[in-house]
Amino acid sequence: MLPNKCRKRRLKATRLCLLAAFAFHRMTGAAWAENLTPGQAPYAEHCLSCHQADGGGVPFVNPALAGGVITTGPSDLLIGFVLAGSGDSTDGEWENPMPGFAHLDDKALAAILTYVRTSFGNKAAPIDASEVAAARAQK
Amino acid sequence: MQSMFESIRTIMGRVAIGFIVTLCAACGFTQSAAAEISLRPGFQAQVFAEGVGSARHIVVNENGDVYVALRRQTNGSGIVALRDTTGDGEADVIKYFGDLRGTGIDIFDGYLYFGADDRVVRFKLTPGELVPKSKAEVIVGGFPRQRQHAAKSIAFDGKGGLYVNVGAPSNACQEKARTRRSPGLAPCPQLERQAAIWKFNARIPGQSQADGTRYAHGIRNAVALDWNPVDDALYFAQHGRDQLGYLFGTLYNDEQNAALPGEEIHKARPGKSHGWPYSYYDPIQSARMLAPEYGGDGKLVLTSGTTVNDGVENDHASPVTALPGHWAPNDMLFYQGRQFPAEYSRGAFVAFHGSWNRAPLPQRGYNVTFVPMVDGRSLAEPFVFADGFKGADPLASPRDAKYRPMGLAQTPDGALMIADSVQGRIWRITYAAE
Repeated sequence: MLPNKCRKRRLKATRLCLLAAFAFHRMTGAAWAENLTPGQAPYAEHCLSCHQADGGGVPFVNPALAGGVITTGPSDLLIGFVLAGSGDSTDGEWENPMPGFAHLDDKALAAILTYVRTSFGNKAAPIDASEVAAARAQK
Repeated sequence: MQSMFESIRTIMGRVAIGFIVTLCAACGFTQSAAAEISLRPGFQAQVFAEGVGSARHIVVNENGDVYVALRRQTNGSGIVALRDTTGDGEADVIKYFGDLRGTGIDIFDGYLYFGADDRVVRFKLTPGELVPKSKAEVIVGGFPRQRQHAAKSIAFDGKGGLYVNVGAPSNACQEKARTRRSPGLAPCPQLERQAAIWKFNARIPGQSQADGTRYAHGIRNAVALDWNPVDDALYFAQHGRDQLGYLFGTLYNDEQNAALPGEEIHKARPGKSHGWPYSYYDPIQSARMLAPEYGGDGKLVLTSGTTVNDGVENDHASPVTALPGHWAPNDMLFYQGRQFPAEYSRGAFVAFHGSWNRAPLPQRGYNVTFVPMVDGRSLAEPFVFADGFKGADPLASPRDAKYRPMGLAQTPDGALMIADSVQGRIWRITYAAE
């Protein structure tokens, strides 16, 4: 069964929906809570100092993840962005660049990304370690 | 059992509250309800203007006209001009001009100078006219385009010298920016053009950076800088480096990450390194430490003669004093008026914009502090002059701060102007002896 969101939005990226469905299938009942929290500790370790505990970011310096376009957008774009880092382009509105996080393993990255996509009021689909592995393989 | 604990906790809470009230009575701050900030006794705050935009630095002309640089354009303009025509202490004429956004703003020799991120320009001021008619004239152009620490704050020595902050384009000159355990580049190539205060001739248009000289270097980002006419010298406050805890978690815990390094206040030493990126000042150990990117471990004190790396300077200037970590000094003003008590002419006001990277600990700063000093020597402990800007305590995130002090200026009659970056409020601080 597909999550309602996927059907409603009629996403063309069926792969995304299938993966989301897979994640949804795995996370039922109490398993939801259990599977949502694994990202919180690594988020505090790797992300919190810039993006803050509430995901609100720092004005002009570090972007908010709450409602963030990249954070809540297509999973493959988010994974690619976090693996590579933001780069040091001077075109953006944010002062600090984000380093790449390719040194974290697939499971840890998936946990962090799932946490930011389902916290701070965000309601995007979770991300599975296999998606991170696939994105890594494409590079 | 539980109820006993509850009552003990209640009693403890009352004792704690009583203690805090006593402390505040002793510190004697005066609270101005309408102005929403608290000040040292005898001082009053009045709101000069509201909602002018994302204010950066501020300057007041001889006739009382006020100019504020903006970080983001308002109505397509990067400078706001304000005038109080009725003399009631509130601006009643507010005009926007200039298409560049920026930080530094100051007046010299009849011109308004403005520091955009990649150039310094000036506008000819015509007596009596609030908004300059002339177009912006480039004094120095072609500063490196950089994402981090691009703000060009400026100061004048009164003799035709223009001083420009050219911040470091990184946090700590690591091989990989803001990446865990990434080592520092040695020597750091960023020091050639950046991480320094550069000096130019204020009167010559059309200069490039190469026409100036690197006046003082090893300075990560001196948004706060000012010329002190008392000892005829340039002073600055540095934004200390970020993320010791994240980048070197085995060496620094959360408390050390929040407290270190100190925000260093320096009398600039021409030609001498001020430390960045090789060292930082630890205000708890009162010592200059070797940065972890260059082999430091949080305990290794850097003294002259210590080997940092081949080809790297190791004789670094000591600060006059240092304020707590990550308070973010964003402006400095040596007060020269006669309205305030005499003690305020021996030292500088520093506006602390407030931290973001003390997280997960509460954020601090968000005040205007006075630093008593003379001839590069500290006279007494710095003390908070104006407080209450952040509006919430503890403050988890800078986003929740109600106001953040950003710019300082002195009026011809000796009042102090404080500009806020969040809501674009400007306060006018006056003193009346009781």
